[in-house]
Amino acid sequence: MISYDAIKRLSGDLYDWSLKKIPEDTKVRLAEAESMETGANAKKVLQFMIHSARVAEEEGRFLCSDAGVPVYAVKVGSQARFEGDVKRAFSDGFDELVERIDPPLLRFVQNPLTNERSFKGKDMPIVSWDIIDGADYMDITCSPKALGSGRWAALEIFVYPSLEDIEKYIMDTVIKAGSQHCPPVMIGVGIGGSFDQAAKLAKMATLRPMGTDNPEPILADMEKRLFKAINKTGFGPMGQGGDTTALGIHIDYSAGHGFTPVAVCFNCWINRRTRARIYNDGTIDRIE
Amino acid sequence: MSQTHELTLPFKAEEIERLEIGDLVFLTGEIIVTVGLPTHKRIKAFIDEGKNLPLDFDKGMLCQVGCYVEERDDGTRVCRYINPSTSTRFEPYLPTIIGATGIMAVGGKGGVGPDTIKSMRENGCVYLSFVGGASALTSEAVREVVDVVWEDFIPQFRLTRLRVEKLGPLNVGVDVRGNCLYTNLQEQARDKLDDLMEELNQTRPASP
Ligand code: SF4
Repeated sequence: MISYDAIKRLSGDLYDWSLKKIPEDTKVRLAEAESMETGANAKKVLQFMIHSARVAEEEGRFLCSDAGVPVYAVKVGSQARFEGDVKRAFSDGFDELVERIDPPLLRFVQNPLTNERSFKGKDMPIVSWDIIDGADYMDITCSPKALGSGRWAALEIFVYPSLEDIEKYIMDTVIKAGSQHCPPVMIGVGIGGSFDQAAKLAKMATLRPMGTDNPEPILADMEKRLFKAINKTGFGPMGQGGDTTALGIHIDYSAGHGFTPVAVCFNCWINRRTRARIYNDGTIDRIE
Repeated sequence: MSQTHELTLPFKAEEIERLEIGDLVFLTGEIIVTVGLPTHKRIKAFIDEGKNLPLDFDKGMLCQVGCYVEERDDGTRVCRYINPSTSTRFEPYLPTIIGATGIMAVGGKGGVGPDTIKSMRENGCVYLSFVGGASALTSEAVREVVDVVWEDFIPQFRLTRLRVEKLGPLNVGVDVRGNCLYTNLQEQARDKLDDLMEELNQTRPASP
């Protein structure tokens, strides 16, 4: 049985870990980008980023002072069995983490109606739920989100767009964001489905490990071409100017009707993401 | 060719004038930090009402930087971490603050809006951008929490004066001549867009 206590602890830990370590795939991409960057100052900025991330990980310090808000993508195995409340375990896990995390968090949970800031709020943490048929575990990814990169996400509804229309929209969104979202960024794109589905696809696409191939050939090709084009825009790391504006772009799609939403979102270069599975027998497998 | 500068606070006008967009800067001295919108609003209100500000801003630097100050039992204050916030949010207040306080640099990330750039040009002030997400190394430059005022705000909104040593690299985003790195980059990217789209079209496999 997967217990309330275990989920509470693990969800808090995943948020904690995500704030102090960048994912392995992101380290690899940053190192590649640094070796290929031709801008002298851009290279210095990338080196500073890589060095800072290493210090954060080694010394258990925050990557960024802005911890964002905790966001989880949870997949529940259809064979998973629970003891106690599951949803409450996530909100209690966050409350408990606020008390125990070191260094302490600043207050980032904002009520959009009153602008009040605290450690609590309606629907906080933000959790999306999915089902994995047959699995006897719960798979939890934590990917916190802050204003810096969060505010540049965009969605537009097209009617029968061509691939060119879609690519143009992505390029426009990238140029509009410029260097505001702490580039080099990880870009997620969702095409089709419905309004909410496209946004979810885009978010989930950012979580796909870098370097993995897109199973859909049209999108695999689109990712490669857009990646090149985006890195030719010239914004560079932190707007220093240079060849490294994006770490990657991942695109997913869903079938839909004639209206085609296209959603684009960004993760800043620290690309915070942790993931673990918790099994019916209580074992925890930390994946990232 | 962009350069790297080491500057000390309080600033000297000629040193600030020498900075060009794209240069890198390391700073030593005392800076003032806050990420509070209400704090910027209050600074502006003090200026509008002709009241004295609780900290001296002259020839200094105001940063949109979040800071966690820990109060130890013995009364000492320790800064656990700092890092920049998005500066464009403060656009309604920065032009007045730059015009009235004598600050010669604003620090944050992502750049500032057109009115702030205008005020920077008129008042000999520059914008210095921190590397977002690099809190671990950036925080190592903090040597001392010199002062914390307006403690009625939540911690990261208070006005905090920090003594730093070799803080950086900071990137010159706006210089005293009103040149803006971010506007230039965005214009350059827009100019390239037609060519980039052409390239995307040329390389896209034909639809079945
Ligand atoms: S966008 Fe920048 S400032 Fe915001 S969390 Fe990411 S790295 Fe930190």
